[in-house]
Amino acid sequence: MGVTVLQIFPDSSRSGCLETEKLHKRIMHLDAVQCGMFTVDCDTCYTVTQTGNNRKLHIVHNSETPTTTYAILDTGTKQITLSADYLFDLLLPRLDFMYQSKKNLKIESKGAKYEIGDFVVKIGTVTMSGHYKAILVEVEYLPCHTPALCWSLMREFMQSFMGSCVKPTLPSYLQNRLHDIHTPQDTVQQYVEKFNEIREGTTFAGTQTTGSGS
Amino acid sequence: MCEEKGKPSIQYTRCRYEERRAKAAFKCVPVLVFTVARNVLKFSRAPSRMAAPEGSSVEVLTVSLNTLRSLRSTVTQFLKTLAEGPKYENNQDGEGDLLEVTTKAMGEIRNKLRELETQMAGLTPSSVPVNLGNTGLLSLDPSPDKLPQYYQLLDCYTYMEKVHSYSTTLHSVLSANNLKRSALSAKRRRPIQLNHNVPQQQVDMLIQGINQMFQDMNLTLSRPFGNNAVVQVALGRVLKAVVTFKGILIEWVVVRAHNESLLDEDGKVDLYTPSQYKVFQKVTDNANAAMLNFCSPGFSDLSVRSFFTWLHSFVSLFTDVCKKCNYHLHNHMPPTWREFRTLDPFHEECKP
Ligand SMILES: [Zn+2]
Repeated sequence: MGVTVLQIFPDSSRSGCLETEKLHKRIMHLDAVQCGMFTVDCDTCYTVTQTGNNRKLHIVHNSETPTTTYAILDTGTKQITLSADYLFDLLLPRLDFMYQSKKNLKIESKGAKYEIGDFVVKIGTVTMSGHYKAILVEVEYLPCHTPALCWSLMREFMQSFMGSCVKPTLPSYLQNRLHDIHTPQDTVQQYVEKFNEIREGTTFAGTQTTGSGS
Repeated sequence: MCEEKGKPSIQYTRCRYEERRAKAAFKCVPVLVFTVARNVLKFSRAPSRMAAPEGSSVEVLTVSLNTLRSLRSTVTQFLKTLAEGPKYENNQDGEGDLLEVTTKAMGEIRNKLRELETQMAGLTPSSVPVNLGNTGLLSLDPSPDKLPQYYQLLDCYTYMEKVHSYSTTLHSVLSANNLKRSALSAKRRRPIQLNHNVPQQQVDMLIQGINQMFQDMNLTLSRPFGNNAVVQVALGRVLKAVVTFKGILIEWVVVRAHNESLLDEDGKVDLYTPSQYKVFQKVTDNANAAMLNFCSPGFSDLSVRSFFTWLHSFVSLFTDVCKKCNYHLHNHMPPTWREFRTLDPFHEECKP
């Protein structure tokens, strides 16, 4: 498990597949090898307790770790991650007196996976309850495990095919974990962060007008 | 000495063969015979294990070899007598006669053995014994068909030792500047150091010294194969490496990622499996090239130290930019090459 960085690729035309096609072409020029597909999906449940504090529970699956279910408890200020067996999904309906899931909030990123040297690139199309929302690119550098060591190298790589949308500063999530060993939980938490941004429509230029994209 | 090497096995086979015949004939004698035969063999191997003796001890060695030879012939004679019976056989008094003859022969053997023992004490083993490690145990294997292996091994080691010492001498001669007068006289001042056969303490000290040179590089020494050291290197959070030594020379280097294990599934040090990452496969190749570059037979400890200094420069493998093109990546690889002297980072393609 190397260091993972997520990047939202701006899609001003809101066409989706046109932009992913462009990325695909660019990445194939870098001698990439396509090696299958990937999916990351996230279900969000809300607490139904009367205390009023808004607690969220994100249930995330990542096709890279197919036997694990991640449950992230989000209190707004703090996030607690639980990595559980796949059977956790069956346990969840029994907790419905505490957590209620909203079906239309199910969000997922799906797309092709590429290998370039020691890099793994996943170009995902984010859809929320069937509607196209954004393009989310995941870049992983396998040989290194500490963000502090390889961030600028990864930035250079990401800029080589995504251009100026890659900011020179570290993503805030990694900023706080600069010297920690990167784990699969870190990847999943970054996905949740990005999914939240996309839902709220704050970062994505194309979602000023809410509604279906296609 | 060379003539002697072939003999023990033949002699021994014969001993065994005759002993077996004797066993069938006399059930009480064999145990004693076997003990004697074993002792003879033990002594007959001992001198050959010693490397070339110096000066006066050559005479002592010759004398003891002669004693050994006569001891052997006495034993053969004795066994022959046992197997075939005494020559002047007497039908009425066969048993008693044989007993008398054998006791006499046994006494003679005992005397010869004692003589040989005293002469052996006078012999000094050569100053640098070939340290065979576990292979030395081969000499104790009594099965005759395996015996030549031990002597072939010894020959091989001696040959290697000679090659090393010749190359060392040649290196110092060739590297000297013959235009300087001082070069010729200084040539022989340094005692010839045999690099592949050094005491373990010397390697331990060297590795310990290097370990203290760098704060972020941790070296662990182990000897899973007897004499030769294997050093496990952990360099920060960047890489791990296994460095295999032969004596004080580096024999093989494998570099792996920080999260890859240096041990195999049995918990032993894994010397060969390459890293699954392309970066570290490249670094492994370069490290082996550097190891060969730094190797210098006259100054082996210095060459080991320079190699580890070079390896330590990879602490910035992911953070350094190439000195030539000023980029992190070229062909999706960070600068995997370090200049030998300046330790400057370069891409494989940007190497000066
Ligand atoms: Zn370069």
